[in-house]
Amino acid sequence: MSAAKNIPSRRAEWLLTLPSLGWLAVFFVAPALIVFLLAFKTADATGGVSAGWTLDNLRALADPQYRPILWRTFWISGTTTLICLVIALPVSFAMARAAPRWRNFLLLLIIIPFWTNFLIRVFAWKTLLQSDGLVSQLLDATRLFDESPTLLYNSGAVLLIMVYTQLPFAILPLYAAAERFDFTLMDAARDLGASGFRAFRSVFIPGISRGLGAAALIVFVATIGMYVVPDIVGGTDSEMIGNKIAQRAQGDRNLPLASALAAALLFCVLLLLILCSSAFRRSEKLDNALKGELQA
Amino acid sequence: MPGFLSFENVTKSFGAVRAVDDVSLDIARGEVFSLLGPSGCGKTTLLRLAAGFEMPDSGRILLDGHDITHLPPETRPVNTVFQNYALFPHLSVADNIAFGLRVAGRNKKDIAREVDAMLDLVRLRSEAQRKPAQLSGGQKQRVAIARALVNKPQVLLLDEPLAALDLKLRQHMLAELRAIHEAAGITFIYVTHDQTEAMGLSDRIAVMNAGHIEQLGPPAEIYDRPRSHFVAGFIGDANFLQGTISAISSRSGCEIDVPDFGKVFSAEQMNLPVGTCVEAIIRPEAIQLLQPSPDVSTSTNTCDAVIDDIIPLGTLTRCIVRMNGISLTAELPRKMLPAGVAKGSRVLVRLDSASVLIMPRNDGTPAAGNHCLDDDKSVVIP
Ligand SMILES: Nc1ncnc2c1ncn2[C@@H]1O[C@H](COP(=O)(O)OP(=O)(O)OP(=O)(O)O)[C@@H](O)[C@H]1O
Ligand SMILES: [Mg+2]
Repeated sequence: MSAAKNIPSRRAEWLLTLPSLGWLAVFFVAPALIVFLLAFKTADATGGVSAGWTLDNLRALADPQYRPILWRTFWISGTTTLICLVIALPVSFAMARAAPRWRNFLLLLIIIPFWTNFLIRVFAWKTLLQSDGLVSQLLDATRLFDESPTLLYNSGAVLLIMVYTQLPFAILPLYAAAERFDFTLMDAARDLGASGFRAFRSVFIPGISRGLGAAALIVFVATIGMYVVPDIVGGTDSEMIGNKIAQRAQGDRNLPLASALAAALLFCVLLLLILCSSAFRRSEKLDNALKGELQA
Repeated sequence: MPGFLSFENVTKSFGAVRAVDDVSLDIARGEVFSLLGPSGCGKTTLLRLAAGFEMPDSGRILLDGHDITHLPPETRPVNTVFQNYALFPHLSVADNIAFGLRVAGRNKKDIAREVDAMLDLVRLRSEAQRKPAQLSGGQKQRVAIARALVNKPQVLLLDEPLAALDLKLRQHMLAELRAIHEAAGITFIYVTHDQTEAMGLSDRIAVMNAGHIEQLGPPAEIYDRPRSHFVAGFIGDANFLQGTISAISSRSGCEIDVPDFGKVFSAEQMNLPVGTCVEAIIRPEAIQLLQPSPDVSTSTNTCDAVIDDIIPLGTLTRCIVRMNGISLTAELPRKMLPAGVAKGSRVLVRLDSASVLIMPRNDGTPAAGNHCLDDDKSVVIP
């Protein structure tokens, strides 16, 4: 193809990408930059930002109170991601194997919760789990416990409701991958002596690995900055970094310190993304190199 | 003969479709058995029943005397080469071949040795570390065969393994399959809708149509003595002439009256009364074309005709000849064509009476008037 022919198509490509680039710039890059910049400012008494620059906020991050919270944040997000994947894998498998007329119905069932506001769903869980709520009453009726256990305001409740809210985001990409999966490969594995579970593990899971990566990333990134769920159903021992950011911003009216915390979190997530995508690229490059060798 | 792999009255339906309809067959140990039939006739379903991917609605499947009807696929000593190969895309060639052995829990040294032996057998040693996406069609097919054979199955099921390959490669792989069969001595069930593949490879062929077996026998028998219109039309080309039996000779055969053609004599012994509606089946190569001349009597099995078309096929030439209301397709070596024939030439058509097959039409009731001739007078199924 000649260079002259390339130019109009290049320009068209640019024009087509411009709106999404603009959207990204205005709603993602700019706010992120503002957050980064604010982290180097000092707070004034009215909750605003005063002139001048400082590194105090970064130093404040070293405060020992944040370390356990950061660990807990990663721990809860990681566990949520893991549980979501473990549930979503068989669900997406079953959905992809279901008769086509059932699939859309099942997909609808997954999507229906989104028709209700996120906050309302979390509060609904709170009503269910509170001390005289439905779940407590049912547990009392079983007489398994002398004293009904507290179901709210602990890490368990946070985990449960995080899984509940994030599960669809794990199922959807996994289902998309499973639907494209060639199920005769499962037959082939069975034919070669693998049990159903072995075929699932050694053929189905590697076959949808991209969907698995996408699902894990989506859930992990969404939960690591989560603040609503621990705020509503969590207790003091289940605070996450998101809660701290909110406290600094709203309670202490210290926007710069909140920004520093947010920037640190953003930095962690970006680092993770870069690591993941470079690992992914390396495996692709290896494949391409082999392909090139074949063609040569 | 009790079969090594036997189907006993096996039926399998999908909703209203009877994919396999009361099939009984016995396959001998070590034989190459082909299932041949048009698309959708139930070949794959029969194979999937043997492999254990489908359970029959009724009937039994026996392997070496044991009922395997309800065994899951992983416990059957049967392996499959799938229609689209179904190689595991995330595994290398060597790992694909090793899959069955790993699942069986064999030790590393054994696995490496047997995979190596298989790589040599299918000549893929230098491709061992490639992924399936980096292989050609023929190479993929060989991996699929190696992956199945390495488990030393008692029966190897092959579902149209050559369908995706071009003609040259198909012929090459067919020879290779024959060699592999000889080396491994395993029972092969070979599914195809390509008759030349089936004829070239098989000890016996079952011709399937709409879920049931129309005819079962060695390739030559199926070609020379098709027992139904369907088999005659499906295996090779055939001309069909409609007529009524006009005379019967207990020793030499029977004579039928074909409107627009005349008398056709067949050497076949038929136990049918005079007046039965029948169909004469004539292979294109059983038709001779002669120079029209007064010396040749235009009597039984001969008819004056006009050449409608001449199609060179390479070694053979195909001629479409028309006589009155019917047309026939003849195929003969170029040397055998009468000198100077061209489109529109007059020729004399002669049918080889030893190769004219007769079979009753419809229910075979004696003709009342001309009712035999309601349909097309001649049909050529290419
Ligand atoms: N899983 C299924 N669900 C519904 N119908 C099926 C299923 N599998 C096969 N059939 C039907 O059963 C019939 C036989 O199918 P089968 O796949 O055995 O044909 P085939 O002879 O292998 O054809 P081809 O040469 O095209 O591969 C077809 O009418 C097909 O539509
Ligand atoms: Mg098929």
